[in-house]
Amino acid sequence: MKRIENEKLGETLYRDTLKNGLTLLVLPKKGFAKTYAVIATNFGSVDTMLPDGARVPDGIAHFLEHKMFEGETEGAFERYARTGANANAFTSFDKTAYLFACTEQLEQNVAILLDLIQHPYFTEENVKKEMGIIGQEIRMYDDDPSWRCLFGLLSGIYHNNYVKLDIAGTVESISKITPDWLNRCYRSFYHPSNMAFCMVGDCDPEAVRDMVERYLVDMPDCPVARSYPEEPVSVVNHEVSAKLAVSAPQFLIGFKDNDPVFSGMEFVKKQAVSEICLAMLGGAGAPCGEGLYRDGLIPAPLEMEYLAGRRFGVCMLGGESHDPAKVRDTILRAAQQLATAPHAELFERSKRSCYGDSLRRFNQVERLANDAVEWAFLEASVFDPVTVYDQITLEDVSKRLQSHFIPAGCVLSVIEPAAEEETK
Amino acid sequence: MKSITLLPDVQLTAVQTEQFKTDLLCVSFCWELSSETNTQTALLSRVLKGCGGSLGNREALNRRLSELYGAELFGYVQKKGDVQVMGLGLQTVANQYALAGENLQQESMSLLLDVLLAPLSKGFDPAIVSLEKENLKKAIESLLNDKKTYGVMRCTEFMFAGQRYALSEFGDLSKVDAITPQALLDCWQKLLRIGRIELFYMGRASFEQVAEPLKKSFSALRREPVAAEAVSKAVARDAVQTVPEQMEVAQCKLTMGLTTGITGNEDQFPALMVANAVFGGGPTSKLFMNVREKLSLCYYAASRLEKHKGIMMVYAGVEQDKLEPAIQEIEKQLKSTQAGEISDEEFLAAKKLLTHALRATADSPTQTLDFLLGEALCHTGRSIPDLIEAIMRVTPQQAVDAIAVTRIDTIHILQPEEVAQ
Repeated sequence: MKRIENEKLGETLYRDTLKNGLTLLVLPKKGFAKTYAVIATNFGSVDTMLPDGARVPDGIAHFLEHKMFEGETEGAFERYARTGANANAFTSFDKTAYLFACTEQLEQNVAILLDLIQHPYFTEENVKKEMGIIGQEIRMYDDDPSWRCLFGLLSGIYHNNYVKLDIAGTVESISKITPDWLNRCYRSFYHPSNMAFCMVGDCDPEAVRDMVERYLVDMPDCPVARSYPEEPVSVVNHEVSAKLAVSAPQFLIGFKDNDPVFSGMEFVKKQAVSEICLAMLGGAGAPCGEGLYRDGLIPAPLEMEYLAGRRFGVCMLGGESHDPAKVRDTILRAAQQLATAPHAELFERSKRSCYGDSLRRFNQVERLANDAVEWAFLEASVFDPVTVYDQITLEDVSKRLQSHFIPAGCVLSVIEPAAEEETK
Repeated sequence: MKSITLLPDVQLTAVQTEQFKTDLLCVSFCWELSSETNTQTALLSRVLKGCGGSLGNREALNRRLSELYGAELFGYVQKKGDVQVMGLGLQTVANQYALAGENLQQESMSLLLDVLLAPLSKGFDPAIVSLEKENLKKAIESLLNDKKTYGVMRCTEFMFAGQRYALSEFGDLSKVDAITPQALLDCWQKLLRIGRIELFYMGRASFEQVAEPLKKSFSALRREPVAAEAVSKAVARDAVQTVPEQMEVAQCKLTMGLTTGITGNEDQFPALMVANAVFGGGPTSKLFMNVREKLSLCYYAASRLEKHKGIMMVYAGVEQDKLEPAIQEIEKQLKSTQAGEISDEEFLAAKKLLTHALRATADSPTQTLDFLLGEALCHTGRSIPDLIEAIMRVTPQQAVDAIAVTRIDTIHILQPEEVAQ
């Protein structure tokens, strides 16, 4: 096993590639009550094509995630209930993850996790039943203003990139799903060389490696073929809106990332630079964001995120405002100003702030393990986002502001309050 | 963990640990939830930060916080039974990660104390009070955005109409405008004088390093603490009340408020926790396995206890034409639990769910604080190991006995339009 120590952070990462191709990561952490394990496959809602060219029903990666918990005699939740683990799963744009946190019986829980991932069980009956449940999950998200605002933004930004598809699909698209479709997706994407396992907590790396090798035996490997649609530089629509029962307009301002690098150290640096730019615009103490608050345009600080993954990236600033367009215009002006007249003091402060944020991610076993797996898929290490700050200069940030935070790539997504009569 | 009474009704709990990359210090103030002060109390959590202590304003405070490696200063308000809690917290990167040898722990503690106490000599800037009043109003209005928590809030309002617990910890929209800077300062002075103060620290500093500056600052205050009782058991209603509320939602949000007859300070409470876990906690509970898995009626259906009032809340997101079947199934599963239809597996799963969650609390500073505060306000002095032990000792019969008198009080339904009942 490879041992990567970061003395400044006080963390050590153990990494190995098993014979079957699985990437194994372990971060021992003393003193934590929970031990957390996650196994993820590099397959998410953006993966809409099978290697044979067939187009999958929208939402199938998420549907498959739900069904992996079924078993012939009993489901995984019933098994975890006996060993006392808190288990769950999630599907994102570019990966599907199965996980648990436990405070006892670690090996038994690892056995359950690796059993469920190797032995799918789909029947007509259990697939039909899930349609009702996921249908309700979709409806729940239909009422979620943040979720709707985000997908409004993505539909405004992307012409063809499948990141704009709702991760759970629609009630209509999931009605097309059959056991056969689920099997085909499973066989196309659930292969060890397309997967990563990470454990974080009070554990012994060698023992973990032995455990995983012993339990992960029924997963044949094969290369995964992917295809991505062409995506133009332009956005679809600079302004997108929808109506929901909210008290005041909720908005997201997004900047389309047309730079093609989304993996490796170059991407780690791009992410850190993007986050510093966002902090310089809307972070604590940033003149632009503070001005918006002081002038009563935003009742709370802007929330910012560089949402990025496999071949997509959007720098976002969001919140509530009675005049979202004015917020957008203010931010565009501030970005242009900062790009042409670099503000060294603001840059240093924002860099420090982002560095502090990167440290926080090591506080929780769940977040750290999920990050480790994500960075493995993006061909970097979970330490890189912390150590990269040493390399970032004011010039990097000015360049990014100039090329990325510009009107041409800017989309405003707004959720407007539904009219009075509708909410009575 | 070390917990001492620093001063009368000023409790300090400090956990020295190297687990986290950050240190957390929280100062919480507790007093009676009252219609005269709940709005001002909520406003205080915003105005204190907005004034920025000696730094004079929010922007200057935020500049300082970003220099401190993005330290996060946050305000919070909570309702625990009939007590309102207001506090400020500061999470800072630990000293060893500072790039220029700064003593972040000391600086951040001074900063937090300054933000809290400087207004006593400076007063509150009227422009800042004015701005934060507007922001508070918007925050109260925006409570309807999250449909699930809005449903819980409304169910509570109807369940406790006319009683203290119906009051919102975020304040009353209609009372915000009337608050003057002087009235707000008077409120702050009063809270500092009579409220219970809970100090909480979790990080790398030693107990003495934390206790000394805190004791110094708080002993300078003139204190006349008035005990506020959080525990106030809800009395069962004669007949179930159903309250439909119209809102343009894709999915109906069902919230049920139930009285249990047992509060957190009572011996039977651990047994009630187990019974509640069997009924509606986690993916092997009766609610999850039946309302969701078997009948596919929903994506989420769960139950949660509120220990200071001795109540239980059940919530589910359901399609409009499935409301009746969902309500019936929830009632059926409650009766089943009360009838002792609990398998060995269900019982074991419930205990494991609870003990895991309790052990996991130590991994989260904010969850640890919330647990401590909740227990302090219940006067139990119970630690997490104590509670785990009590849960492990619960027998199936004790769990059944504990949930025996639980009954539905109020059903709240958020729905797009009237449905013929």
